[in-house]
Amino acid sequence: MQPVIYAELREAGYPNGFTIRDVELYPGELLVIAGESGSGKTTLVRVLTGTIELVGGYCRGKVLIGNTPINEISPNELHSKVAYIPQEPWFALIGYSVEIEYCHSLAVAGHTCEFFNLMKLGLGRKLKNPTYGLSAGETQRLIWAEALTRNSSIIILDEPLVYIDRYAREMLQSVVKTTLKDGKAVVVVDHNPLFWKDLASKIIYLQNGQPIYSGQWRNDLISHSLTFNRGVRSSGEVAIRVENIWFKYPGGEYLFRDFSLSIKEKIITGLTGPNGSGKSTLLKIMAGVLKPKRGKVIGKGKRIYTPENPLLYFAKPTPWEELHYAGSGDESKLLDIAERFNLNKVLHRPLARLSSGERRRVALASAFLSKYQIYLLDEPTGGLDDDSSREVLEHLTEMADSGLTIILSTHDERVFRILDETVEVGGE
Amino acid sequence: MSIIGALVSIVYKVFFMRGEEGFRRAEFFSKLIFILSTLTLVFRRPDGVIITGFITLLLGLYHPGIEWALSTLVLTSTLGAYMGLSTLLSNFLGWSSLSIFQVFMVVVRTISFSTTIIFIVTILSPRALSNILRKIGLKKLVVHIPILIWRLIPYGMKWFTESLMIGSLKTKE
Repeated sequence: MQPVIYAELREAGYPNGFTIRDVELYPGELLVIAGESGSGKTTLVRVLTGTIELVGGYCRGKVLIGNTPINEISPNELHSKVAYIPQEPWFALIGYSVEIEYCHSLAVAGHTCEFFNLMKLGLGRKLKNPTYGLSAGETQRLIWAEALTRNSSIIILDEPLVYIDRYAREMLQSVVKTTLKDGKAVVVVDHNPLFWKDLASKIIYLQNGQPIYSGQWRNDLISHSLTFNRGVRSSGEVAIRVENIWFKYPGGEYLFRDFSLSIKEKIITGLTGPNGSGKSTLLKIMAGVLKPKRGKVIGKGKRIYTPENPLLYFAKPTPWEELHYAGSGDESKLLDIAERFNLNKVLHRPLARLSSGERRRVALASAFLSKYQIYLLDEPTGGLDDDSSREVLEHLTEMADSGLTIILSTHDERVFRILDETVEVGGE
Repeated sequence: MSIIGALVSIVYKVFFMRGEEGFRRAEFFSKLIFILSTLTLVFRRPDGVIITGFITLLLGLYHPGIEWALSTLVLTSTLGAYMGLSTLLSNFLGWSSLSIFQVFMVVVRTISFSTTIIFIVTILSPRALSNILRKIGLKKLVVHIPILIWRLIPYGMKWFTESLMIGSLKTKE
């Protein structure tokens, strides 16, 4: 049988890149690419999708889609054959409304616009909505629907679990299962490879840009998930009170109607709930980034918000400058936190060239270096491997122990273990 | 900072709030005839622009709706106020000698003209523009540009304001 994707790479990525020989993927196979954050997972995906040169990298070697070298395939043909859902899904959209995005994507690939898969993935009622207002999880589902309808023979998912709720995860697993049965090949980049153990046939494990294993799936290769337990704190004082707020995005329906909530101080509160329920919006309202139409937010103490796209947090071009600014020039504190969050190797690299996980760690380190009383963190462990997550979670618990208030939104089950209180957003 | 946020929100509501619905779905030639007659009225009669401004505002009230009409009025009134004040300033400096009524008409015409132009931009369909580019045989990547512009501008504005607001949180005492 002929592989649907074949790669033989002498060197690829950025200077001092990696060598991977003979990556072959046959119809019906699932390849998992795992490794710590910053190890080169997304770079390898960019090589496999032929997009590495667009972001300033290079590829010496060959990548074949079917029999054809990837650089000889026209963009439209590649779009039809390979569905790539990037880690930051908002970069994969072109259309300004759900309907336009979906239909345009299908038209480019020569398909008629039928909404079956969009309905199946729960976006049927959002056809007229602007893509601007979709949550990250909904954006991911929109791109899956396009990939399924285009009937792409290769589906590449970069960290697909980061922004989606439990229901969507189960749905994704079932969609991938059906896709594999239909004879398509799937590549998944994930910091949590065990999620795929029942479906995966191959795994590449990367470390510092080099594969330490590439071959058939092995359970023993993966360290088991982080064990992190702590006592549950309690507090009587209120840090932030949201009083009778009404909020909607322009042109949309009200997301919050007469909504009230009290968040206690000196504890870790988690906002959970399905995609699109308004977790990120609520964090932004509490931070003052968004203003409610009616109602008010009362809080005591300085607040900071780190967004799900960490690039929006930065005011400086490199981690060094960002952390130097955050730490008011105290270099010993800067070096301490860089050591703790494993940022030493990237301190002078432009932020735009960091991996998503590295950016998130820099944003959190920067926020932690500046002294605030209330931290509002959107998906703080999104895209982070277990080691990085452990550092972040330990730091958060230390901060709560020292009397700071942490409010975070998350879908990550690793984070649930450190929460003192949970607020289900989207319920009554 | 909140002024910038409010301005961005108004620009978003005026140009990017709706998808492919309302007058955007109208037949291309009917829109072309409407645009040509509107522009003819604007340029052939001195006060024609007031009529077109009024009509387009009424049509805009029907679709995209009240939120669009109010935001458009705020945006165009800002432009009108700027034009009125600069005319008064030029009167004050002796560069012109317009009566108060004439200055008032400058404001009204500015509001009406900008409302007309905004409505015309609002009813243009990026998808239709993209299809026209495809039909006239432009390169495949070029045909995505109208759709991409309508996608990127609101997104860029959203990120711009979010980034600014986070920056202000960082510096708040």
